[in-house]
Amino acid sequence: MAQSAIGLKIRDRRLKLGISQTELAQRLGISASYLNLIERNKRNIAARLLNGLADHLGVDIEWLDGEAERRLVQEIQELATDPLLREFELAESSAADLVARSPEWAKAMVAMYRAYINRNETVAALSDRLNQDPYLGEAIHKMLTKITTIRSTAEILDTITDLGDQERQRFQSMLAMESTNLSGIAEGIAQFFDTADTETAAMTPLEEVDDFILDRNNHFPEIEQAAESLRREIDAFAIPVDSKMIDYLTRRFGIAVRFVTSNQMDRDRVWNNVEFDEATKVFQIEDSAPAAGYRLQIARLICRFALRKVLDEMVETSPLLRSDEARNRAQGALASYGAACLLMPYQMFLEDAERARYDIEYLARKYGASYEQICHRLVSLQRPGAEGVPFAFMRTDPAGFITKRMPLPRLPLPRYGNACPLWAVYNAFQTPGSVCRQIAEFPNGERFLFIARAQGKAQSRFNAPRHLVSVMIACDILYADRTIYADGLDLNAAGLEVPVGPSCRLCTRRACAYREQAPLVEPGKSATPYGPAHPS
Amino acid sequence: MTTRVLVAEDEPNIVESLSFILNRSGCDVTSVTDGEAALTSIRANRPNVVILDVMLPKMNGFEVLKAVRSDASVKDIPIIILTAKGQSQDRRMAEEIGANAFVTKPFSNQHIIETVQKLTSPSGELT
Repeated sequence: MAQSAIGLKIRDRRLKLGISQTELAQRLGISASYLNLIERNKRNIAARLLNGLADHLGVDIEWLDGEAERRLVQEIQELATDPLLREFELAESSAADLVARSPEWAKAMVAMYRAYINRNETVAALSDRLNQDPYLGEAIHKMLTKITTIRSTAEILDTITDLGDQERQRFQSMLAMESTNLSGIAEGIAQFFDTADTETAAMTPLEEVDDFILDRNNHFPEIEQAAESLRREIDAFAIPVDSKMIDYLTRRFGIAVRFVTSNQMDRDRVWNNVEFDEATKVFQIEDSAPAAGYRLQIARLICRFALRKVLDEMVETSPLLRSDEARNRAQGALASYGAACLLMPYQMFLEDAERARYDIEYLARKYGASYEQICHRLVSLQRPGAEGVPFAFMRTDPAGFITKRMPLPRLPLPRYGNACPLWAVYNAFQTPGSVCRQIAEFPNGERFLFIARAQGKAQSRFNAPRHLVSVMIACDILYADRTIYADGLDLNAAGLEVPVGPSCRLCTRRACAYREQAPLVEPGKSATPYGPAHPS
Repeated sequence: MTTRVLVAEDEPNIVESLSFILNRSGCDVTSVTDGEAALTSIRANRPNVVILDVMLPKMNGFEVLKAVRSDASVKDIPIIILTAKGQSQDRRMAEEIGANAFVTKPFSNQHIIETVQKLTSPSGELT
């Protein structure tokens, strides 16, 4: 707790007890002027003096020492960083004053904030369920199955006139039974919507961009096409080389590209080892930056300028991008997409990927790209008629925060919180730099090949903190043998698969030893194959 | 010649109604309720056509289809994929792996009969 709060507390307590400063100082064996300094927060308090103060003021030392308040201050400071409260410009230092002056109000704020976070998480989890929910998907599957029987049986009863009595009775009975089952399933779905929160709109600019990219299945033919023309204009070889791109930036847009030391860069403006000054049209690259990284940034800058019209139109016309910040971020994301198109042209990259059986490390070497850039590009190979293997993509940090996600229709990836801790994307942190593969089986029997690798972002110097991220792509098990990562695996052998779930809250594996949270809906309460509520 | 049809479907009432209508249209129908049994039956009995549900226990329909298409002794047997999921992704996957037809639930009896007949006709093609 800030020292200011202790001084204030001593003074408040002393006045409340009606003791003068001189009197208390005498009891403590210190001078009145020294106590005055303490109360005005001008002096630290030694442990023995703190004990004496607690005794004479009749309070617990913990109260006076402020451990509980210290935690409260930290919580207030944490909530002040929430983007929701950004406009209030809450100073970190004022948290201590608030706790000292109005501790009950501070506690109330924290309690409300906790409730708000909890509520948000619930809404987010339910939104995920509505969008990609395994229960709901299964219930609809069952519903369609029942309707199939009902339709088929009804047609038999209606169109076949020479049915025997026994057959007629049998089909009538089937019709009645399946109608009852269907009613039960429909009730289950109705109950689901009664209890589920229906908030599905993105809540932050980042989420708006996320939705925008997912809505397009991470494939933007307009940009692919524009980038093809751009490559010809740059007069590049098969793969644009740095010098050609730098020449093009200068020739076409008057942008000077310089390699400089980190000391020559403005640390506040550096992003991914590069810095661009719009006013002077100077693009600076840190001379020790990894080539794959700065090459992408050069290509990205080219796209920002050369494809501006295309990108503007895409961003302006999307109803999913509602805020200015989201539109700005989307512009950036699309420019990065364009950069990948420039550096890894669709057709060539697809052919190479197929030939190399999606060997990410080989492709990274061939294209001078990073592991993550290759994974990202693989996910975008969805041109109708020339599709690559459909991959999902996920990136997480060691704290479990999912920083990028592109799900597949049958493979939901959580937007908030964590996925199942058994996923390879988390295992990969145990062996950074090595590819970790896994056959993951979900509770509904769907199986996927997970390919994950944790890697450190390039360190700027020896003692800089090492920042690890884990990147994973995943495909349906049916596509696994088109990838090099299925080599040596018997994809049909039992026992190789790891039983996983989407996330604890959405998983129905009751007996899982790794369960950390209770499932949102108990298996028995929904129409799923894991605990059907209705007879089938 | 009687058309021998294998129905691989784990929903007993669908099996019953499908068997009934196919039998009446002159087919000889056998059925299995999981993917492994489907693959075993296809290899052992070489039916003229297979109606294969996607959501089967043990091996799903796509896995069975893929195994059939990679087995030289049975790879040419026509297969109708049956699914309650009409997603384009499923259809695309079925086509890629080599399904001859893709039928979504709920289907009409007549549609199933016609699909079986077309796949077993001399031209073996769907119109």
